[in-house]
Amino acid sequence: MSGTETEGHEAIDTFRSDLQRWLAANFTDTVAASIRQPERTAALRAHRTWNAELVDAGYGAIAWPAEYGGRDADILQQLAYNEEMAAARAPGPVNAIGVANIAPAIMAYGTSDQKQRFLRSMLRGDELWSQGMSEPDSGSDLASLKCSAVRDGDDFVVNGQKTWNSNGDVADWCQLYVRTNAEAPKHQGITALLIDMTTPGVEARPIKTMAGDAGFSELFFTDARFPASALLGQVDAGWSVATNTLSHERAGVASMYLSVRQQFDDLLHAARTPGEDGTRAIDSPVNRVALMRRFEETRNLEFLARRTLDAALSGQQPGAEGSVIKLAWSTTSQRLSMTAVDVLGLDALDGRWAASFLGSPSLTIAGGTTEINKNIIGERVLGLPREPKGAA
Amino acid sequence: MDLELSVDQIELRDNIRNVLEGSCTRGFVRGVYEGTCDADHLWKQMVELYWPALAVPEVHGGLGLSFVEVALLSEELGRATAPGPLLATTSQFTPMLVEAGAGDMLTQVAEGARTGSLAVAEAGRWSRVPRTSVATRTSDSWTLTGTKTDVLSGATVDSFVVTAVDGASGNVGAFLVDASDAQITPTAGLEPTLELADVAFAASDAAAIIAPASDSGPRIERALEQAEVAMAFNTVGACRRIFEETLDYAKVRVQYDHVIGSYQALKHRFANMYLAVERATAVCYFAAIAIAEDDPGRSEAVHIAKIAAGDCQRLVAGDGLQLHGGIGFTWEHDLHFLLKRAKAGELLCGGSAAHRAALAELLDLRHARSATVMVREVAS
Amino acid sequence: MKLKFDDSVEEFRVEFIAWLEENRPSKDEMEAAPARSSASSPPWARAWAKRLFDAGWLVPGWPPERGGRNAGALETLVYLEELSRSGVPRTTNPQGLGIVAPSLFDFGNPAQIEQYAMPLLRGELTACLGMSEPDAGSDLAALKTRAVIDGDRIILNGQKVWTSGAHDADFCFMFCRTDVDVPKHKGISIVLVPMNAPGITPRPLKEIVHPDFPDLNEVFVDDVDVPLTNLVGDLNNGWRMANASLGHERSMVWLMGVLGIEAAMRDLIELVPTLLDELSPHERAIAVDDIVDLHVDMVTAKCLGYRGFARYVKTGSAPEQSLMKLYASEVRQRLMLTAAELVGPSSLALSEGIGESVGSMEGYFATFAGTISAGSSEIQRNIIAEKILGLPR
Repeated sequence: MSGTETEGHEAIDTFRSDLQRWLAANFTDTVAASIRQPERTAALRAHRTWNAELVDAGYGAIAWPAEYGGRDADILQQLAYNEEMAAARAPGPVNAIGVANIAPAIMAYGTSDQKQRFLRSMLRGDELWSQGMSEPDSGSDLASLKCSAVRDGDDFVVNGQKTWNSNGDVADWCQLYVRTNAEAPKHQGITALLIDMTTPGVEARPIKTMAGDAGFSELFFTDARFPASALLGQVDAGWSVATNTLSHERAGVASMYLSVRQQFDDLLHAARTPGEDGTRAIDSPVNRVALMRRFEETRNLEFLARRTLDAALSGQQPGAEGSVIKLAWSTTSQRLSMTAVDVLGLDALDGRWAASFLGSPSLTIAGGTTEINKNIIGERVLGLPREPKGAA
Repeated sequence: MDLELSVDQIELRDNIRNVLEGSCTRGFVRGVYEGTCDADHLWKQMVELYWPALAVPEVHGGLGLSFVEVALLSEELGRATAPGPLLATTSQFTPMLVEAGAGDMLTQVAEGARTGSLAVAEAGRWSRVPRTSVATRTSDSWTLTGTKTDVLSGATVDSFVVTAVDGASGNVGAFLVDASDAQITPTAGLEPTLELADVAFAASDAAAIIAPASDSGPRIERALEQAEVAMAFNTVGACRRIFEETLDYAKVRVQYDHVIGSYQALKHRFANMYLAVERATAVCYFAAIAIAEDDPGRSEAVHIAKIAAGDCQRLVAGDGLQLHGGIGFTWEHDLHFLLKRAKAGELLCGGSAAHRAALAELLDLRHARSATVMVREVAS
Repeated sequence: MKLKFDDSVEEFRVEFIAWLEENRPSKDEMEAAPARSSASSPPWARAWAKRLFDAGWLVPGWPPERGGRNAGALETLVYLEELSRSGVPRTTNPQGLGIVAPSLFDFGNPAQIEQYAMPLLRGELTACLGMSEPDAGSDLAALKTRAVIDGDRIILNGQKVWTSGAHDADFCFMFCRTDVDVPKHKGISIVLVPMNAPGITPRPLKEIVHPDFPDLNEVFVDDVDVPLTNLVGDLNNGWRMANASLGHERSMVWLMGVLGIEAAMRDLIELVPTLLDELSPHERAIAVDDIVDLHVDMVTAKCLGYRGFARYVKTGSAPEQSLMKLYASEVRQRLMLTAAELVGPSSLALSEGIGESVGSMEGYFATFAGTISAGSSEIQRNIIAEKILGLPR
């Protein structure tokens, strides 16, 4: 082991123990409970307060460049961070999509005014962000979006609808994708805007999901007028803003397997706990088999992710393995929820397992359906030609 | 083996379906979910149509139809996600009353004057032999103590038949208890149209309709088997409709300039779903006819039906939701009533895992039994 | 709905069982000289065909002069059930009995019936079916083997492939192109080609199971000369006849699939006690779970098949029938794999004869004949989605 590597490891160890200490002191049981309370407004308030403290302590978005409030953390440090946050069961950033996707786009395509204005407040959670991409008729096929913006003088006048906007009803700002050129091929007529949600003509309606309130909204735009300063990047170049923005987060796959591992541990604990009649779910051979299979999948996911991390550590450019891991993560997590229902039986009809079981389908839909993911794997990873009729 | 319905059975099923499509609309179900409607009017209509009398023997004022007809009714109730006590009364209460020969009570059921349900599960587990509920003989009757969980329509029925063990003899019996003598806690939770409740008895007055005796176990089991198969039908009914609606959706939803149903990956999933639904339907019919004809293979058929219904809902509820995409995940869309009915149907009356374990023993996979015991030893 | 058939049908069953007991070839007899391919006919098989024919048990639905007794669909069903239960094959030349003979009765002339069809029934001849070609697999109508009429002769040139039993068959029911100037479906004819005709060269293809007992062949056809009287039916009417021919096979194929699974499951259950004894408690729990699943698959396959059949008898159509090929072949594949895995490394041993025993890995490989041939599982799913469920192409 070279001297630099040893130093690197020592630095990571110090970072890790500092973070552990900070979490022990600041992510108390009271704080955790207030963030997990069922009432969404209060929970969100608690989350924002704690998020600001986290950022001020230097532990928000450590992967961001230092000039925007991050630490330029390398992948090992990110991994340590994710592991410690998961071990403490600490929640992710308030503006999860903002930190992971919108901010990097602003860093890459934004004006210096936009960077100044938005990045810090987004990171601290002083302002809440939402993202407007999907539409009722544009789900998997995002580039077919129709919500339109017409130039009137310097302004953009927007009409149309968006759906599945996380926190759309409480957001202060939104990164919105609109069609500015209906004549051009579909990928070439899209523009990205950063819009103020209090603008007249913008209406957010919460979506109630089958699992109850999950914090999604629909957004409606009726002659909503946004100034030229809302433009992010170039007019009609929004598709590159959406697809070329690389997240700084390189250890994100770690948080995937860590969350699944947690889910499994919780299930195992529940299965080992005797019920009212004194029996334990884990004593049934059928349940044991199911749990064992889920454990195997959970571990597989972990190894798959670790391998990607190791490849990144050794300096390889990230490829499309992300799609493979997302596929493995979402199916593993969904199966885990189904097994929870099988193993815990009627107990699973109420309480947190019911919610996780009902929420689990969204894992394979949101952020690219399993079907689309498999197409990506088949076409981009394995080099199979496109389906004869479909043009993605 | 002829597993196709007769002309009369098809007509009955179609009639039930038509009535439910008119009265138990999606709007109505939504009202029940959101607490703005109740099932009273629907129940009155069902009584007028003699549905509660369906399987009550003619001598007690019923229509005297077989279990096959009860099964078809259960399937349609699942398809419509119908609320109210009919499913519990026809598929759980009545079979036990028939097994017990409780004539007066059956007459009341036939008239629509009494609803009832089976209180069997304890601590979330549907078990053929109760573990904790105890019956005690008094000078002229019985009292009953214990807590039953997840009782179908437990929140709304007039009476329960409760399985309990006679503390003195150790034999199991079936006891009739009036709802007013029980402590009822609704646990509607995820699927409010099933009106689930936990029901507790504290030295409640009980009438032994199947008195604890050395041969009472198998008699009670025969009634429980009917409840189990009816629940399998209920699940498959919901699944078939999920499948049909998902298929319709795939024919109109356009992405990448084509309806999504034209993509081969989705076609193959539809073929698999179709197979799962037809497979479960066929084996449920098999179980229904095995019960109706009292075939020696009925117990095996019952387990397989519940397992196949479980396999079916697992695939169809999952794929149905997945292929609807985000829209199926919204409260506003009606799909979730069916999804929740299908999932609840798997969990009630014994889940697939329990029926698999029972089937393993029945098949005399001799070592299954010992495996169960040994694994338990290893686990503890 | 009912579990048992009407009394008359059950009486028919009893009668057949009694006859079968008396007349079946013995197990020893069959094992001593197994049929090596789907057109081989060892002496016991010839005698067996003759006995079935004479007693009217060969094709019960046909009239007595063709080896039947004018039985109905239900009777045919119980006949096949009992035959399968007995473990005696109905024929060692399934394409001959199931496809070629009925097609000749439908489309052939009296001389062809006398010379080819009747001997097929009596076990005196065996036939193979020349359909697929290297460039005509799923798209059968693309076949190219050329038949040119020259006076009262037909001259054939081309190549067939995947021809079952071609090296053992006496003649081939060969589909060939007789008109190249019309749309592909309209220029196909059927010709009877003796396999000993000069210019016919079958080349057996070794398979991944039983390489010493090949069944599939390439058949090279070089300037083969047969009389014009060997043309079956009308010239250029072959496509319509092909569809009708395969229809003969389809009506009851599902039953063979189901009964085969049932028999395999019986074998597996017989193995189970010994196998489970070898396992640790956890392995046992997993194995038991797998076996229970297979049992459920077996019963559901049966229910699905019988339900479809009942609908077919009552209404003349049953969509379940199209599911059966897919489901039965995949269940069988799962079963054979699970059994082989349960057996462990000794499943790698080769079996003595050519039967695929439950618990052998070669038996598992053999099941791919079911999921690949006669419309692969992928094609079946497309057909179900498009033809039954109405999804667009």
